[in-house]
Amino acid sequence: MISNASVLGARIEQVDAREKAIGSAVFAADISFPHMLFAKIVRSPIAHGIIRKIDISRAAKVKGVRTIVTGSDVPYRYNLPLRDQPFLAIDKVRYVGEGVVAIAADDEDAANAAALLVDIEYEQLDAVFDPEVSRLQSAPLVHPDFKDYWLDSALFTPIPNSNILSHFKLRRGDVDAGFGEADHIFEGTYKAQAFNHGALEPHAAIALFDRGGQLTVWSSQQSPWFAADDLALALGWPVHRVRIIAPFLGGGFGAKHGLKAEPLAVALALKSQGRPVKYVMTREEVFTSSGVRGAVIVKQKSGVTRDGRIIARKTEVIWDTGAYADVGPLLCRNGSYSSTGPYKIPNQWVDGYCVYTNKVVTSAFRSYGTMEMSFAYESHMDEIARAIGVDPVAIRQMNLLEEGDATSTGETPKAVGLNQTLEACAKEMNWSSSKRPGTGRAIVSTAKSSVAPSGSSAFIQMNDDGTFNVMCSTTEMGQGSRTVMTQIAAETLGARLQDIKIIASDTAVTPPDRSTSSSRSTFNMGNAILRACEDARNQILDKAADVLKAARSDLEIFESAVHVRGDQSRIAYFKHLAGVRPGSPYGPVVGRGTHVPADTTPFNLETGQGRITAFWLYSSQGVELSVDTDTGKVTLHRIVSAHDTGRTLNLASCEGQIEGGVAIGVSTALFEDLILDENGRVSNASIGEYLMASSFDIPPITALLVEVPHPNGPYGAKGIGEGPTTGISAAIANAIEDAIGVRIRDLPITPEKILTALGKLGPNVIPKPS
Amino acid sequence: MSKSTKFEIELNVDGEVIEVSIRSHHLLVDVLRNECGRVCVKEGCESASCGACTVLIDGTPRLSCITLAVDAVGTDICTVESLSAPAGPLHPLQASFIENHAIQCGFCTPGMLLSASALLQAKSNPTADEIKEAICGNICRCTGYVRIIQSIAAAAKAIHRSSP
Repeated sequence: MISNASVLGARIEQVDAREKAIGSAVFAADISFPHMLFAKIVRSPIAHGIIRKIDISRAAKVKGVRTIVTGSDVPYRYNLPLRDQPFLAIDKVRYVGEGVVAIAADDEDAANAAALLVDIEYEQLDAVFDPEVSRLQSAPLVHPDFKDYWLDSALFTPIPNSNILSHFKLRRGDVDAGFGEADHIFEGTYKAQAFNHGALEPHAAIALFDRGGQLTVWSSQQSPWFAADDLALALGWPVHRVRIIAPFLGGGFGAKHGLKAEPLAVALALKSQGRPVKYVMTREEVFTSSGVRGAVIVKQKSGVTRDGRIIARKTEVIWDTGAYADVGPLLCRNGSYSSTGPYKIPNQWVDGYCVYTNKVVTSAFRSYGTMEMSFAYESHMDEIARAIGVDPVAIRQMNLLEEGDATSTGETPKAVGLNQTLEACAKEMNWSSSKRPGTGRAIVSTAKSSVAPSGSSAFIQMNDDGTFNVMCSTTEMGQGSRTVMTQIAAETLGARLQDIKIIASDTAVTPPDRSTSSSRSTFNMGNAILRACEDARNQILDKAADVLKAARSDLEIFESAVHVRGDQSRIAYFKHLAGVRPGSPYGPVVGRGTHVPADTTPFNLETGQGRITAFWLYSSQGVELSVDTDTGKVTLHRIVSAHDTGRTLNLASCEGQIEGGVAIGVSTALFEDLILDENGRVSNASIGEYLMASSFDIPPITALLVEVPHPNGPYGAKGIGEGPTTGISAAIANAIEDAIGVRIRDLPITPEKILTALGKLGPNVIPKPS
Repeated sequence: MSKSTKFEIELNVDGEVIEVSIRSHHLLVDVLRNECGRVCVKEGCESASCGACTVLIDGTPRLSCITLAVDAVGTDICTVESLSAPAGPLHPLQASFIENHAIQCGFCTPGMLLSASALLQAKSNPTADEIKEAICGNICRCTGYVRIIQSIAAAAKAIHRSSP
């Protein structure tokens, strides 16, 4: 049946689900080439030290070993916007697990055998693991040569001769005057732990440096253009000499944003005479060396009126970036300003400090700081509400940002659906009725910005059979980008869903895009594809007007065909307009689209003010639970998760993002903890020892979608991916206090901490991790 | 680690007899992926704790990352490719996973489907707890398991309906 029904909003099947179900979907580690070499990395066993000697002579004699490189062979540094990290350690190691020697051999057996025969002598230096210690002037410097590194001083401000690589400042109103006017002052310190991203696919990269000087990397990379840019800058090349191809990713969650496995594969490929080099991280390396969600300390002080209005807030955030910057400077900025919460607080003061330590590097994680900030500000909010006797939902409604209010960064956002999410969540939880006996409950609200500046672009071409290839650099990692981009393209073109094929991601084919991160793709790439499709649609209409001898204004498009309105006999199918084959009277249909949010501005580095995001994610989430006070075990009964999508483009995708994000929130609130021993070694670097939620641990989740159309979003839509991970830990902590009257300010919330808080365990009885 | 000599073995993979050249310490996961063209068998942890490498050996779910290739000689090894013929209809579990949106990144999916298929072979109408038990060794970081559990239950019903 011919129809011009919209393909937006319904539960649309994922376009790549079939190939994933039959096992034919290709991931980076599945790719192989003739004459390919296999890499093995020798890593530092110590947290801080000078490399005195490297002897590779015995390793080089192993049959099948082709290439061995050390830091001095590839003296390049990467990380944007602070180029501090070498491909392999140069002269010094700064954390346990840092790469020191890379080996490429004909097979894994030879590479593994050679790795055991590398001799390295180190001179130990004092290491620093505690960011509170590391930020003091007396601490040993992790990077004494910091002043020699390239950095973008427009984006962040280091403190010279210290381990503080970024000091973020937000100043708004008069915070001291605000405290002076307040009836109550509340203070709290909240700690979020380091944890691993837990993507099931280990990082993998295959690098080929061909004899023409082109570098190609097939990689588990979320953000191919970002990675190509970083690699090219490090190598001193134009970006086009680095081609990054990202197939399907087996989960990203931020772990695969930016360079991870790539520099090591590239270091070997540069010295391997045109042979491709494959490097797949072991799971142990994923834990010790690929990156973590870093530990954070938040100290928050709020001035509150008698009725519950927050009129002043001062926050200090300490970000532990580990041994290198990675996203540290921007995480410190975006995370620190997010510590103010989704509230209209007239007087604000934030200091964020991003600090080097001798630990595995902190990388981006789904929500980019808002998970850990919301643990602080939403725990703090319930502590305030409880102390002054105001209902937790009422105090939030009193302080929540509404349309027309300014954020802490001085922006007046459009289409603010915050209160709608809170109302939906409270209604679903029957908040106005009393809770079930023996249980605790809580509702939290959060706001998460998206990265800016944030350009995306896309191409579309019509194929000879009237189908389309859409070229875009948004990487599919399970978030459903190929499906939502397919829907946006089909809707804009008037094409059938099955006629759209997404080609992603290959920087030699798919045009520039900032990143697959920050819940930005539906909004930014969606807009780019929408514009590319409008461009193509115009070309189609021009041709069809000619073919059908009709005025353009009389034409309409649906079901992959152009129709003359009111005349069912006059139809031009797309395939007759394609203009692909030789001899076609028409040129090909090729559209292009670019989207850069026009109205964002840079930050003022002294005040933290600016319009720093094109849209916000707004969420409210509720938890019902009970706690066994004999064992400290938390049983979750239900989670309600409400989000403002702008417009829901695919109901199933949104529900899937919510359930998965909430599950990560639960797992990291209750279980996950990357534990370091006193020498800085990760002591639970395997999935067997690192506790994660399993099929038994996730309660029923009710997903609620609120639609407040965003004026700049494609069809009103914005992102959703990160919202569900935010707030869950605070909701659990708040519901625990509601249930049993104890407050946990330190994640994860383990049975030991609960029993200690109940006075049933003494701190001296808890075995220290070793 | 000294490199031992390679030797030939025959493996029966998805009904296909494949001759491969291996060393005695080679793991089944690597041999299936590198020598047998079965990159659908995923490797996530090398330590028997994530379930991504699950295959069926004589019908029982086994972790190919802790199975020596030589120990699989003489057995029937099934990967996710055996669940449905290339041009044929999908296995009810595959269809149910797609329909119920139980697949996000897809990396756990082959192992998850095989654990589920062994469950449904043993129990035609499993309870929710039996489903959770069957897949508790298969880690999924994307979905929160909710839809995977629903999909397996729905597939069990579908199989029951089609062959009462």
